[in-house]
Amino acid sequence: MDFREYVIGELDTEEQKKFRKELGDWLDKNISPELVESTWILRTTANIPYANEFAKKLSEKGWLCPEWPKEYGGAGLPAGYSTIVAEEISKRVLWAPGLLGGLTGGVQGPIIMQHGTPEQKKEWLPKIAAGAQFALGYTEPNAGTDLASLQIRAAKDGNDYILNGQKMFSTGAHNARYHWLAARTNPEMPKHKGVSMIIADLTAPGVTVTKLTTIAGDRTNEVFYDNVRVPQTNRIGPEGEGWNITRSALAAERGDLGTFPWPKILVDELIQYAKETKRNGKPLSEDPQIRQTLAQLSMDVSVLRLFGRRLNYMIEKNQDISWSAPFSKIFESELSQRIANQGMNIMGLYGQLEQGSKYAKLKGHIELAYLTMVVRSFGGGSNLRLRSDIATRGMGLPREPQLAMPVKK
Amino acid sequence: MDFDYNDEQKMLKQGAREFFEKECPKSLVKQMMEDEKGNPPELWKKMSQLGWLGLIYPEKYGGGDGNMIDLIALEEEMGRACLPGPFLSTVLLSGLFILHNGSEEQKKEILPKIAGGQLILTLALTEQSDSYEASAVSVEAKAEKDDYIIDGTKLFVPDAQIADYIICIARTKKGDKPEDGLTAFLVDRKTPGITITLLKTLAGDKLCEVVFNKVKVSKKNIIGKLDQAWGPLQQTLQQVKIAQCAEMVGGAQRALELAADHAKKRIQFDRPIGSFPVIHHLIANAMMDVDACKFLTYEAAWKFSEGMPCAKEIAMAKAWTGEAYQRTAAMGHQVLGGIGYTLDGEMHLYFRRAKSGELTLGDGKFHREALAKELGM
Amino acid sequence: MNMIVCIKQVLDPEAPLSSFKIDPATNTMVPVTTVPFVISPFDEQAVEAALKIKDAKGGKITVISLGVNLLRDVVKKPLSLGADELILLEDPAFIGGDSWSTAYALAAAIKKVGQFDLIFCGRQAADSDSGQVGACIAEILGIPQVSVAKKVEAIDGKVKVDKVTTDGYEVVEVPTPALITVSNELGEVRFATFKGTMASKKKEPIIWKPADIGAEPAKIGAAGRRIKTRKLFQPVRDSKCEIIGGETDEDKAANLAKKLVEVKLI
Repeated sequence: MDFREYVIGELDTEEQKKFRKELGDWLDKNISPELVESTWILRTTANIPYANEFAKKLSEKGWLCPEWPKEYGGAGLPAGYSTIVAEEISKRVLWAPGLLGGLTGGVQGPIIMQHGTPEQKKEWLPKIAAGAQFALGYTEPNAGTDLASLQIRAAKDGNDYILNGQKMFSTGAHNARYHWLAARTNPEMPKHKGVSMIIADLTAPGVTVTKLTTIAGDRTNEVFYDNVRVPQTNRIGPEGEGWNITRSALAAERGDLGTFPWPKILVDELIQYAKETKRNGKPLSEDPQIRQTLAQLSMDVSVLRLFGRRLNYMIEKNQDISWSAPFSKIFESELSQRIANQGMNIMGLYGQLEQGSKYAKLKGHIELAYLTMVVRSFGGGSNLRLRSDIATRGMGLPREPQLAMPVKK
Repeated sequence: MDFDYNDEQKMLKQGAREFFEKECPKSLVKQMMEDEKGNPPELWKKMSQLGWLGLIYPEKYGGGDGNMIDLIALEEEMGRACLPGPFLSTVLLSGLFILHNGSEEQKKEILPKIAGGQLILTLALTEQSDSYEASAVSVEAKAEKDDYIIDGTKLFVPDAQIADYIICIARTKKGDKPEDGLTAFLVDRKTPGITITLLKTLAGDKLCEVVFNKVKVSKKNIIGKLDQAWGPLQQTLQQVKIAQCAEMVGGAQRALELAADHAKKRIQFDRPIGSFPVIHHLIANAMMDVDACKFLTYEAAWKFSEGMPCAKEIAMAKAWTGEAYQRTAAMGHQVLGGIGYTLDGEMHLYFRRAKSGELTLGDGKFHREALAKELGM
Repeated sequence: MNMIVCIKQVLDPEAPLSSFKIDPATNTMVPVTTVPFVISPFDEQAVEAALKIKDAKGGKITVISLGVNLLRDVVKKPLSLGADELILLEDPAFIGGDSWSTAYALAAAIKKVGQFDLIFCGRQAADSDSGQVGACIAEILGIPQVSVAKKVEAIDGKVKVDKVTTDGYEVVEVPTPALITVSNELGEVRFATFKGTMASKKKEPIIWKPADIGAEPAKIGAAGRRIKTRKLFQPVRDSKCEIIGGETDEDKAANLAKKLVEVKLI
C-alpha cells in the first residue's frame, strides 16, 4: 500500500527531464494569458476557442499528439510523454479537457489508429495531429441513453453515402470542421448491429448547424443533415461495427475522470468565504451547521481524489475499469451539484448573484456552478444508467431483461 | 499509488478469513451476544498462538513487530467475521496506551501477557455525560500519601466484566482547561471498591458500568505522567480509530456482498430481483460507499505507518466509515426483506455493529467537527 | 530430511458452478476474473504432511509450482507455513501439458534441486482430477510411490504410510527416497502465524525456465502432450422428481420399495 503523492516530474528519467524543461520553456512563451484566464471561467466551453488556437501552435512542434509517429504528425516520442505534456500544460492552465484529451488524439485518433485503413490513417491522423476539430455526433432527439436506437440514415449511393437525419446536443459543432457521426447504415439489422462510424464535413452542402443555448448560457447545437453526400471511404471500420468501436473507445477514454478541479476549488473558496463573512455578528465558519456541511464536502473532495487515483492504479495494472470508471463520474457530478446547492445556502441571498453583478461574491462561481453542474449527471452518460453498469459489471448482478426490437424504418 | 495490500498482508488477510470462517461461525457470534463473558477462551488462545494479539507490539515485548497496515488487514477480517471479544479494549485501547506511555517495567510486565492471551484489560474513559470531550471526565483521584483514591462512575466501558486490569482516566487536578489534570491509573480489577455491572446493548458487545467507590491505587500504577494523560490518550485513540474503521470496512464489505448475493438468487416476478435497476442503484451506491470508507481508512493507516501527520485523514475515515457501514447494512435489510428480519439471519449482526461502531470513539458529527477545526474554521 | 512438495495454483474449486464457462471450440476453460486462485486443496495437505515431518525430524522443505501468472500471495503460502524454499517453473512452455509432460518438467526440476528423501504431491488436482502427476514423477525418477496417504511417519531411512483404501486403510512401509501423494484424510492444514507470514517476505521465489532445468522443449507442456482432449463440457443435470404417493406412510413406503425394485436399484 502506498499513498505517496509524487511531485510531478519526480520520477522522470534524464531524457524526460530534458524534454520537460524544453517543453516548459516553450509553454511559458506560447500559452496566452487569454487561454489561462478562460480556463478559470467555470464553463466547460469557455476555453475552447483559445485552446483550439493554442493546439495549432502545439501541433507545429509535433506535440499535440506527441506519441504518434512523425509520419502522422506526431513527435514520435515514447510512451509517457503525452502525460508529461499534459502535466506541464495543467501546471499553467486550470483545466482544458478538450486540449488535454487531444494529446492522445481525442476520441477519433485512437479509433482511427486501431480500425482505420492505411489510407484513412494517412488522411485523417495528420489532420488530427495538426489540430483539426471534431465534434461528436452521437445523441439524437430520440436517442439519448438508448443511443443504439439512433436513426440518422446513411444510405448507399454509388461510392457515397447520403446522410439524412439530425443530431442533438452536438457541442462544439459550430467550431468544428468535422462531425464524428454514429449513423445507421444497415436498418434491416438489429439496432446495435446496423450502426457505422462516419466522418462528415460540417461545411458540406446540406448541413445546417443550429444554435441551442443551455440554461447555463453555453452554446450547444442541433445539426441537420439534408441529403448530404459523404464518400464511403469516410467510414471508419466495417459497416455495422460502429457500436463496438464506440464502446471500446469509450472504455479507453480517460476524459476528465479524476482531474476535474472545480470541486476542490469551490470547497476551498467556500471555506474561505465562511471564515471571512459574518452574519449576525459571527463568522459563518462558527455556525455548527455550516461547519458540518463544509467538513462533509471536504471529505467528499478527498473521496473523489481517491477514486481518481484508484482508477489510475487499475489502468496501470490493466484491470477492467468498466465498473470503476463510473465511480468517478457519478461521484464527481453529484458532488459538484451538492457543492453548488449547499454553497448557495451558505451564501444566502448573495448566492443568487451572477458574475458581474454588483455585490456578486466569489466571482459568481457558485451561481454559475449551480447551473453548469446540472449537466454533469447526464452528460457523458446518465448516472442512472451508469449505476446499473457498476452493479452488473462490478458485482455481477444480472442485467435488466431487454426486448430487442429492430428500429422502425 | 498502490491501493493493494502486499503479498504477505494478502496472505495474512486470506488466512485470517479462513481461520474465522472455521473458528468463529455466526452461531458462535450469536451465542456470545447472549454470553456474559463474550470471549470464547479457545478462540482467544488460538489467536494468541498465531501471534495476532501481539501483532502490533514490538518483538521485545512479545509482539510481532507488525505495522498499522498489517493490523488493518487483520481487522478487516475480524469485522467481516463479527469477531466477539476484547481485541479493541485489550490489545488496542489498553495495550497501545501502555506501549506508548508506560514505564519499561509496565510494558515488560503487561504487553507480553496481552500478546500471550493471559491478560484482559480495558480503558475506562466515558461517563454518564456521554461525551468524548475532556470536560466530560468527572471521576476524581485524590492523592493520599503514596496512593490515590479513585471515586466516581465510568459508563460504557468495554469488557470490564472480564478485565484483569482497568485503565481509569481520572481527574487528579483542576487545571485551567479541562484537558489539564487528567491521569491514567492502572487499576487491578480485584481492588476493593470496584463494582461492575454489564449493560444490555444493541450489538451484544460487553459495555459496563464501573463504579469506583474509594478505590485505592498506588501512585506506582500511574501510566505516563501525572496530570498529563489527555494528550497521550488522544494519540492512542487516533491509532485505535484507524483499526476500528478497518474493522467496520470489513463488516460493510460483507454486508454488501450478502445483499448482492441475495439479489442474484431471489426470484420474484419471474426474474432475479437483482435485475431490477432499483436494486442496481442500491448496490452501486453501497459499492461506492464501501470503497470510499475503505480508501479513506487505507490512506489514514498508511500515513500513520509512515509517521506522517494524519489527523485530517483519521477524522474523515471515522466520520465516513461509521455512517457508510450503517447505510450499507440498512440497505442490506431493505434488499433482503423478510428473510433478513429474523434472528437466524446474518444481516442484523452487521446492522447492529454498524451502529455501535458509529457511536464508539466519536460519531460522524464529532469527527466532522474535528475536521472543521483541522481546516481552520 | 530433504523434502520436496509439488503444488498447483487452481481456480477456487468452492466457487459456484455458474462461474465457470467452457469454450467448445478449444475445449478449454474461458478465463474468469470473478473466481480467486488458490493452491489445490490436496496439495495443501501435501505441504502439511511435509511440515509434520519437519516438526518431528527437522529438515528442509522445497516447494515447486509449475504454471503461468502464479500469484505470489497464493503460491508463497507454504513459505508462511514453514516451508524453506519456493521454486517456480513459470513459463508458457511449461503449461497446457498432460500429466506426463507436466511430470517430466517437475521431475527435471527435482533432479536439479538435488538430493531428496521424500516428494509429496496432492492426490489429484482440484481442476483436472487426473491424479497421475505424482505417479508419473515417481516413474521418471525411478522411485517407489505410495498414493492416497492419510498419515506419514519418517523412521530412519524409511517411511511408514497409512494409505486410504475403499473400506479402511493399509499401513505401508517404503524406503526413501520415495514419493507420497496425500489425501484430505491427513487432516486440517495449519494456519500461518503472523511471524511465519512476515518471514516469507525474505524468501524470494526462484524462477526456472525450461533451459534452466535441461528440459527438452518437445517433452514439456502442450508440446509434450500425448493425451488429446476431445471434449470438455459441463454435464447437464436433468432431474425429474416423481412423488411416490400412498394413503398412509406404510403405503408410501411400500410403493417406494416397489418403485426401487422396478428400476433395479434394489
